[in-house]
Parts: sequence; structure tokens; C-alpha cells
Amino acid sequence: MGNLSFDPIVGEEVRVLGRQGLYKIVRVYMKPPTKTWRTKGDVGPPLPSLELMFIDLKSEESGEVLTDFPANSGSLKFDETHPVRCAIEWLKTNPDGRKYPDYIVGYELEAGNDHAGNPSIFVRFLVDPDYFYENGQASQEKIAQLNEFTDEVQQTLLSLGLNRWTYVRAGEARRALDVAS
Amino acid sequence: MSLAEELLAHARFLANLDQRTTSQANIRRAISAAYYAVFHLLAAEVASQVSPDIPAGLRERTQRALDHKQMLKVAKAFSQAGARRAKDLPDDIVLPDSVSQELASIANIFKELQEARHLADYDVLKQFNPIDADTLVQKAEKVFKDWKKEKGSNNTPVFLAALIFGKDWNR
Repeated sequence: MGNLSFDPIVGEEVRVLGRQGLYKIVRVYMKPPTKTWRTKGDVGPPLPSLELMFIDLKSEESGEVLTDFPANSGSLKFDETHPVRCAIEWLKTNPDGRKYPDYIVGYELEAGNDHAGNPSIFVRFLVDPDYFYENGQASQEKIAQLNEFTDEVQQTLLSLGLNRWTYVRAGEARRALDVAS
Repeated sequence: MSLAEELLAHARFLANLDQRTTSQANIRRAISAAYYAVFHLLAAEVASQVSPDIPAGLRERTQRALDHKQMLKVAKAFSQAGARRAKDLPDDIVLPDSVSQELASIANIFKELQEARHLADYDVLKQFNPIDADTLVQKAEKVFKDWKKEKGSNNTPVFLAALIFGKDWNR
């Protein structure tokens, strides 16, 4: 998991210190700081270009936009699902020869308690049901591949050593669309 | 056929119903049956390890002592493949081997199925899809296959004993 990073992710909701409500991250980018510490008379090889991470945020309620917000300023508060989101986004890059399946059209994360009261994070990968069913019957081979993938995700999340239990399942993408309509 | 196997077959029957016409009741019962198939598989193995079968009924009675929440805790403790130690077990209970892929998978699926069973049986707000039944029933079937491989392992006695006695080991 060498390249797994816990940087902010576009689309993620965060709270900003001193401001009300939730903000959505709309852009994450690197750029050099506005100030340079080299003076005109300096000699020697050029300094390596130093870039910092910035983000643009948009308020979910008021629509207020914050730009050039330093990502590592300590003013952002991520929710408990952040490390899980980072791990899934990392898996989407097909690391270590692993394959993120094409039939997964999205995923949902939710923090809460399981039925026994254990603090948990629920991960639901949304899949296209048409890929799995023909004439009303599921392809057992495809279901097995899907289960293998969710098992791998579960093991990846366990290796993060989170304080919360994780539940990783699949669900039909159509369900989310139905709710939206 | 054991009760666990019958329940698994019943879960498979319900999951195989036509996806276009199946009902919430069929899907929910498939998930519930899948969980209880795994529960009874493990319960029977625990009883077989800790109780003689004479007099008649003693071993079956022993199965009644199992507690779902305790089993969930143990499942969590054994859920990481490669771990040398099961979380929350007393320090003097040492695993002879690291947790195998099979045992970790059994533990994770048990945990997953128990949560899904609870939702399927009680959460009327939740809408289940056929793929919920298909994935979970196949996972239950995998537990049965994995258990055949894991059953003779060095870790099995610890796992089974923890399922029934684990809650009292830290007293």
C-alpha cells in the first residue's frame, strides 16, 4: 500500500474550522506557495520547486466558495469515513496489479453503529445489475468475482487498523437512481 | 443432511428465484437463512468440540449456549488474514499459527451475514435487491467450503472454544 495517501478527495464533504455547515471539496491541486524565500543575489543551483496542496471548497448550504484553501492547514475536519474513502480511491488506481472492476459504477460510505452497537463504517459498492443477470438468473461466476473483490477491499481496510468495524457489501446502482427519482 | 446444510439449500433456493419477479420476503428470507446456515454450522462444530454426544441431546443443548454477539466479537478477532494474534483474546491464549485466509474469510462473512440478517429481519425501511441475496448466499456457501479446509487446522480449537467461552476468558 505504498502509494496510499490520505489527502483530501474531490467530492468529499468536510467541515471548516470557524464556519457553519458542510463544504464539498470541488478541486484539489498543487501549486508553489505565493512567497519565495530566494533573493535576487543568491547563487548556486536553483532550489527544488516546492509545491503545496490547495483545495477549493463549496458550501452545501449557502453555495459560498472558498478558493486556494491550504489543504494541510489543520482547519479541515474530515468525517470518520475519510481513510476508507482514501483506500477506495487508491484501489481505483489499480495498484499492485489489482483490478478495480468496470461494473462498479460508484460507492457509498456511511458511518454509524452496527446492530450490536459497534462503531462501524458501511461500504456499499454500487454495481450495474444488467452485468450480473440474464433471464432473471445471476451468473454465479460473476457473483464470485464480485465477492472476491469485496473480500479484498475488506482485507485492505482491516490492514489500516481503523477503530471502527467495516462492513463491505455490494448493492444495485439502480437502487440509488430510484431513490433520486 | 444437517440443519445447517438444509438452511443453506433453502437460502440457495430462495436466491435462485427469478430476479425479475422475486419479492422482498424471498430476498430477506434468503439472507436470514444464509446467516442461520453458517450459525448452525459453527454452533454444531463448537458443540462437537466441547460436549460429548451421550447422553442424547447433551450436545444439542450445548449449542443453545452460544450467543450471537459473542460470536460476532470472536469473528472480528479472527478477521485479519496473517494475524499472529486474535484481538481481545487473553494474552496466554496463543494462536498456534497465523490466521489463515480461510479462517479470516469465515470470520468476515459471519460478521457480514449477521449484520445483514438483522437488517433483513427487522429494518422495514431498507429495500433489498436480488444481488443482496445472491452475494450473501454465495458467501455462506463459501464458508461451508472454507470450513472443510480449515476444520483440521491448529487454530480451529481456539476459534471454536472462543465462540462459546470467549466472553468468560477475561474474568
